[in-house]
Amino acid sequence: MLFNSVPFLLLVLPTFLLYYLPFMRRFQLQLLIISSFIFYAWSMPWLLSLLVFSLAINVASSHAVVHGAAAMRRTYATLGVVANLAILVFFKYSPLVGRSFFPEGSGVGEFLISIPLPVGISFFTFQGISLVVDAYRGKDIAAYNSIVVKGMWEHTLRISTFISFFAQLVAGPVVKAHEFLPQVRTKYFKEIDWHSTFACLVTGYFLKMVVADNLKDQTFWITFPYFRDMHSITLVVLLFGYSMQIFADFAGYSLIAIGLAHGFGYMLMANFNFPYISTTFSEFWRRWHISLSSFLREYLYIPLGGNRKGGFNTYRNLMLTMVLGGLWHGAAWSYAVWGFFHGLVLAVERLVKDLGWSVKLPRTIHMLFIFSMVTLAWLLFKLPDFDHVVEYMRALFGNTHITNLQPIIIFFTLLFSAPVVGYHLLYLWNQRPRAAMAGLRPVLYGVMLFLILVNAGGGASFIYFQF
Amino acid sequence: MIRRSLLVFALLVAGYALFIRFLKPADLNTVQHQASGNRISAEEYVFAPDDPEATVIVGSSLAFRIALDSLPPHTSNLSFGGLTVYDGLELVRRSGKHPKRVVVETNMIFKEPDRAFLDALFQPGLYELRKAVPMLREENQPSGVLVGYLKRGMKEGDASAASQADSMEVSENLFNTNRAIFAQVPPDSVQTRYLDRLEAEVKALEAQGIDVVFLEVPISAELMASPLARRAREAIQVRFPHHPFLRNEATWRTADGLHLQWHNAQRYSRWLGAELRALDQDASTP
Repeated sequence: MLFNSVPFLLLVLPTFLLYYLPFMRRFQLQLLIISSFIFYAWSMPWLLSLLVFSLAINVASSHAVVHGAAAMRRTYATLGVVANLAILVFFKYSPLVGRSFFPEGSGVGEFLISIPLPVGISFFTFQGISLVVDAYRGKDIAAYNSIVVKGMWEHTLRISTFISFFAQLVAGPVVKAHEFLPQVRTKYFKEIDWHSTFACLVTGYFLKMVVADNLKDQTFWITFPYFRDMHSITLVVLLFGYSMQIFADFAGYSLIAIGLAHGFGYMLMANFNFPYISTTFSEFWRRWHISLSSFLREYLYIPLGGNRKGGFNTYRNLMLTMVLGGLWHGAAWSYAVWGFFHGLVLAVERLVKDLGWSVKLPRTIHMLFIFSMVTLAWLLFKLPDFDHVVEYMRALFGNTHITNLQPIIIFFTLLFSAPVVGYHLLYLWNQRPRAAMAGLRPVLYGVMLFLILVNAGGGASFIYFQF
Repeated sequence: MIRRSLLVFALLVAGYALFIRFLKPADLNTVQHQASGNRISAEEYVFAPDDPEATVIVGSSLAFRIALDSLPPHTSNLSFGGLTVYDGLELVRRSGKHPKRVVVETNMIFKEPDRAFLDALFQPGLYELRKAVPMLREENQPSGVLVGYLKRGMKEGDASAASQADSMEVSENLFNTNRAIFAQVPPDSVQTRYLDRLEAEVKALEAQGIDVVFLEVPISAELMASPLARRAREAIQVRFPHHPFLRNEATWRTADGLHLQWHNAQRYSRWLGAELRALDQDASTP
């Protein structure tokens, strides 16, 4: 079920109304779980069995880690993490293994390729890993104590809400157990932060339905073989538009998720913080998909050793984290290459810093450089076939002689990219407080609401659903 | 803030509704891209009153280039770029309309339809809303209206014709791709599945008293003789031996092996118009 669909509206409105009724307060978790199950099972009901299976593993393993025999805690935690990873690897990477390591037509290969990718699996398995690891760490850290309660029924309700809550179930933000579970308590209507809920929902739906969905119809032309006959300038503009689209699509989704969660009394972490103003790659990763970056840092990079041993080990850990982070995005080698690219530039950046070198250039130049590199790398997302990426780059630099410039495509790509550019510029401008912004806000939200109503693009699923 | 935002929203909606009702020119070309053009054509058709004299062409981007002004009155073109003949047939069925005749393009019959297009068009709640409130239709999107005025200002007709001619020199890449696609014939089981579906759609139309005519849009001579084109042609002749099958075997210039160039599309439309008028005359002759 998509956030921008009528069925979702028909699900979430009654859920919201029931949720805050006084006689329903005792059943708020049950209500959220039922609605989340309907949300998840809407298109493919059989997927619910996988979600329930994953929930059962996480409920049992996290409970055993905290309340089981002390000598077995590490074993339970390991089993929990391995089970989550096994589910993820089986459903997500079997087709890649089938395509890469088995000859065409082989029975095993065909079977592996035929395994479907359940929507949201990358997100809910990561949340399961966070739960089990946080529960295990809870032995030592007081802040984690509220994660696993003793009563099995209550524990099951709390964990099911944490993992299956529809706001973040299928495309994040990747919520960590120690951030979410302490918030589980009875919620009251009077506590809703309406301004923040309204702002997140309007901005999120605007970014998704008006910006990303309209850009999608232009960036369609970054498809083999159509791009081969386009002028270099058109190809540059299209790539720029895709960079805007992927931001608007995912940041839009995240804002809708955060706004919905606010409405139900939960705070989810911000997932994007104006990433395209970054002046270094490490800053970019502190601003882009923050919940995943912080997850990878907390549960992979630091356990690998982080930067504790310095030098080569740090660079190796960075590369490994980013390659695995790349593969998390999709079961294709192009995603690994994308992760490798980001790992490499992060390692080089770190090396330059370690050597004490610095390049004195205006901040804008740094910003444009990082944006250009990040945007070029998005091509690996749009064109999972590596040969097509190479061909696109060749056309990008070589198609200067073509007379047909496709002005309509350029016009619309720039028109629908403008809100994302404006969004970032407004942030830069607004870093110094300006009174004018307070008066301008209602106008901006009013215009966004109007455009959501009359200028939404053709409905499409969110790009990150495929991950 | 929320109240003031909603006030701004309400003022904009009211103002724009008045603009669409009283100021927007009816003939403004507000197409933004291929999918937008498809959506506008589909909405124009489903929201218009039922016309028992109508002829509806259903097909792919090949028949999309047919110019309506050369065809008999009451003709609609539900040929969609990037989509298939099955999308057009399903659209006619789901619209509940009863045209006099449906002209079915046969070039791309072995291609999967796109469910998302029709599902979005007929989405419960939104479909009824768009039917009742024209401001919410694709043709009235502010970005489309904006580009409509820009195109009008730049005399878009001439520019479009020029760009069609220009694109010929660089379409060799697409020609090669299309050549490779048309060299492959799908397995018999796949062909049978598509033909069964086509037959079921045709029978459903005929059960409502709607005439069905088949149409092979001309493509380049080389691709006309390709295995896929020949197979599609033979399959129609075998499955539907008693239906009219309109074909023109003259030589035509295409942009990429498949799509007729601007002037050729005009010339072909005139030929098709004459054929459809002849069918009308045959039908009215006792």
